Amino acid sequence: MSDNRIIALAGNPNSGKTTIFNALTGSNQRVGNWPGVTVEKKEGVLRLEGTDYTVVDLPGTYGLSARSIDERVARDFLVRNKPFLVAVILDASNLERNMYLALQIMELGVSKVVLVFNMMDVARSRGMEIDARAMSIFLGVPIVPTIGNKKEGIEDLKRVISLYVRGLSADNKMEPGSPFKYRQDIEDAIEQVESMIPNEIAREYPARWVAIRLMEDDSEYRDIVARMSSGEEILGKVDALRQHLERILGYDVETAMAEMRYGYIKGVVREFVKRRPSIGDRLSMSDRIDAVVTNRYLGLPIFLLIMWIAFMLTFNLGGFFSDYIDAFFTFVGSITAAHIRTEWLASFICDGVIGGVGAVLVFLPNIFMLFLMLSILEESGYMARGAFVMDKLMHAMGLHGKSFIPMVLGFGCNVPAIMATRTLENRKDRIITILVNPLMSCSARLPVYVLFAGALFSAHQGTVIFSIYILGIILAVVLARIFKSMFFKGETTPLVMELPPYHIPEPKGVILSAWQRSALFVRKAGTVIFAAVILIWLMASFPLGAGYASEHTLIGRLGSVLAPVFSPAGFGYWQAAVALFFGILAKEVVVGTLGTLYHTTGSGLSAVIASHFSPLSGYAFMVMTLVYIPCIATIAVIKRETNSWAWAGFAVAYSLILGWSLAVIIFQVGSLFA
Amino acid sequence: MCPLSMCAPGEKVVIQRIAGGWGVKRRMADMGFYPGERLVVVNSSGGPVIVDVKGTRVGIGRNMANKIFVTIER
Repeated sequence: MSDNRIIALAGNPNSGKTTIFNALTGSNQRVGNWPGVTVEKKEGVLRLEGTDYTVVDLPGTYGLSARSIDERVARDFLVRNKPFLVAVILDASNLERNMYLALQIMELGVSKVVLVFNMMDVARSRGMEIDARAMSIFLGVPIVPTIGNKKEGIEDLKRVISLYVRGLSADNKMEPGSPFKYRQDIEDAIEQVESMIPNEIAREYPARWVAIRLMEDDSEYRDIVARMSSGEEILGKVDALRQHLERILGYDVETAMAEMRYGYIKGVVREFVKRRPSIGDRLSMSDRIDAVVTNRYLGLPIFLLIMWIAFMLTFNLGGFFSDYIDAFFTFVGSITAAHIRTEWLASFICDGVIGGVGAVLVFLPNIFMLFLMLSILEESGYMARGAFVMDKLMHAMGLHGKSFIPMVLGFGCNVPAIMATRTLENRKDRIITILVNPLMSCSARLPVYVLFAGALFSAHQGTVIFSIYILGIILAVVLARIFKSMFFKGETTPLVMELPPYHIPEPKGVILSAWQRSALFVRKAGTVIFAAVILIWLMASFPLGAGYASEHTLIGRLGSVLAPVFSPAGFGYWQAAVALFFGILAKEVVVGTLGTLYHTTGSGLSAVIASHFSPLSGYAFMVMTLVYIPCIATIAVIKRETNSWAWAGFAVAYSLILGWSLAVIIFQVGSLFA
Repeated sequence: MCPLSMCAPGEKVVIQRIAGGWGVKRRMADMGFYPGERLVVVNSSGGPVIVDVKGTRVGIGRNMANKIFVTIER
């Protein structure tokens, strides 16, 4: 039985599904512009006439053939959980493509279906007139026209949902008008296979659906059938039928079936949509931009220039605001020191809280700017083009152009970036992308670079930081290549991606999205980083009488044990060793630890760094921070996404060895020239 | 018949054959590419081939574009 409290939203990427989801549930979520932004299963609550319904936002898919994990998530949910109602969100200006998924969901036949024709304004502006009412009667499903971002039609959708929930009233009774059928010989074959499906399977899956999948040679369903006692007999029959049909058709059955579905859709669209625009009649603005930015010679330089501008804005504009936050903490620190007489409390506030958490929060403007840049790139539509520009390079790495998106997201945070690899179809591509992702320097590591580059390379800090990011990318390229030849030989899957038209990002949306992501950073500063800083402060204060943050405290002793390991890299100070050690909890803690141990923040901390590090050893330390062991959250997500402790352990081991070796090489080789 | 990667911008083509295994063909069908479908080549400058298929712009990596065989319509 299906649960009549569950409503699923399905649809192609870029159909405005997330907007409809937000309008229905009132929750605030990000709307991206590259295909596959909805990677996680999102749920929200819709309250209708006093009853709560769970609305599940499925990952965007083009069909139900379940090639990537994303698509599998969507298909499994529809097939296994059998939601009471599926609202299929379609881009109304693009029905010929969007109807393909809708048709497959109707074919599945486990849920009631509502078609939501979204973006009606775009369709109208393209001169399309859709006779939704007649089409609805023909297809035998309700059709609700909407304009998601203007909240138009949402009330109609809610009304249709509640009608369905209460059972259809007389005037809304839907009879299948003209159900879709394949050509007769294929229909006969499907029927023959359907009659052979054993009850064990038919209890869980619709028998016709299984028969269709088998005729399409779907390996997942072949495996399910193969486990049955009559499995061999059924698959033998399927193969015989397929061979027979292929001889008649002259090509493979699955292509023929896809062709018939598209043919049917074409007919429906021709019948009910008037004044269709002739396909590709004129070059749009987007096409003219694409001709330049995807050009063989210009593509890569333009890409690098855009990235460079984004980074410069992140550091220069962000740094401007950081100075004010720094001044604020210095002010609070001086007041505390002057007014609190209890020595340990003053130390706790000045050294622990302000020194540790303050040192991290100073970088909030940089991080906000970084996320702002990523949001703008995503929303404008450039990110999807980036995948093509980088495709050659990605192929040289033995990766897929699509791997580029998780890689760029890694600059924000590796945790969602690694989750975004779910859009990759090939498991090998996916594991390699996951393994090298931590080399994409996340925003948590940024405070370390800004601090060190500011203290040691004041004139060229932007360029120095850019070089660290570039180093991370180069290392990712080289290692991906090595991992590929070590663990996974074989070909990569083709790159085919929808390119949504460019549009100027909506300022409110972009700022909100950047703020939501930055807020996570603030929350982290209040929890994980705060806890780590207290621990470090305590370890730096005990045993009492040893002198705060001296070598004889607990933390000093721990650091002294670790420090010799880093001597060959030029930063064999126990404070640096401890900072790296606790940095595994969260990379911001590296700066937080230094702030706590040197009891100062901002410009004061810069001065201390300048006195302890040379530009060379400082650079070695930055490289170490870039490469060594991913933070705990990243390790956990690697384990979860690869479903293997071995891969997570491997990621930890290779990064530690590589990071240490590089730091040593940089310092030793650099010393020869100094 | 020629590979899609050889076509010039503005040319209207019809897909004749897609080379590749089950997974590739199915994937392409989901995106709207199957024998008999008409495409318009929008951009092709040595990078990806961008085509109009069913009213949407879709980018196809060069490697894949080499495996889609089309005839050019007059």
